[in-house]
Amino acid sequence: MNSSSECQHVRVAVGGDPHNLSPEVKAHLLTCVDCSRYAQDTLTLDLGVRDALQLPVNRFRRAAPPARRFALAASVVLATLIGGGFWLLAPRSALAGEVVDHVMHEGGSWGEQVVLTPAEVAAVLKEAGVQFDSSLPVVYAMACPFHGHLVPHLVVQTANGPMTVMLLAHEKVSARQEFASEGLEGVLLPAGEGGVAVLMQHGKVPEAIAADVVSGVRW
Amino acid sequence: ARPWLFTIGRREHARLYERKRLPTVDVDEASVLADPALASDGDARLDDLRRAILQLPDEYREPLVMQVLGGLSTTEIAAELKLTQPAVLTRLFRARNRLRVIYGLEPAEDAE
Repeated sequence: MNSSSECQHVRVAVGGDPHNLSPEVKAHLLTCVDCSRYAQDTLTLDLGVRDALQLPVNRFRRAAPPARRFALAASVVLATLIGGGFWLLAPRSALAGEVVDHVMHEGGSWGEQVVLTPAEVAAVLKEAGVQFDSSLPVVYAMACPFHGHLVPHLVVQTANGPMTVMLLAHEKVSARQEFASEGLEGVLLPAGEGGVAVLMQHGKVPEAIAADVVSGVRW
Repeated sequence: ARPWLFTIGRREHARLYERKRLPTVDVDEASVLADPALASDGDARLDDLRRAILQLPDEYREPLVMQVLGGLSTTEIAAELKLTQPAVLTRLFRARNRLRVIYGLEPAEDAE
């Protein structure tokens, strides 16, 4: 490669990427004054290009017209209301659904007829760390994993038929919520720092029984 | 992350212009009208350079802006513009060569 064509090659390389030059190009720049000046000029030009392109953004900003600002504020309020509504309502609905799913998975519990001894029930309650004093005869008692905790899953005999009671110490239930799903009807009730779910297969859970369950719970 | 952000920026920018029919002004007219987008900070040479950059063909201006302002490597630019790296280097060289004249510098020989 003669000197002229080498210089041309170097200038193309410098013009393409002046900040990342190959060792060969750098070596040439050390020996060729003209190309070295060319490279220096290119770096100066790049600074100019950068300055020319860096336009202050605030020059292009225009204040939003009042109507647009109002629309924006209204959108934020609406989004907050919708989001807040979902936040308030979704967990409760989800909890009821999960309780129903759990009960459906232990469908055999409805068929139990033999009343458990107080000691058997107490053992389950102790395992879950819950106290429950009720006169209702318990025919099924299990400490079931639910949302990462063991919760007492009981079936009690009543004049209205068997009812499932789940004592949810770790579930915050802020208000009474009735639900019906998968052929079951039930109610979620606040109980101190937690909640209680009472479900039955046919008809609504009688108010008196729900109240009796809640009054017997101690976390 | 920079090339990724650049890609998002380019596509969103393109999408914006697909949707909107923005009023356009010729670069020369805009400069005469002292459009804020082209207004210099009192540096005539920078003003000339800015106008020259805007008048560059897209194929030259785009890689130059990506390199100088975006800080992308030639490999990243090649990937972004779906070109070979030598093609990107050639475009960058030609872009700078055209601007050298505006900037009062002697251009290099180019077999363009």
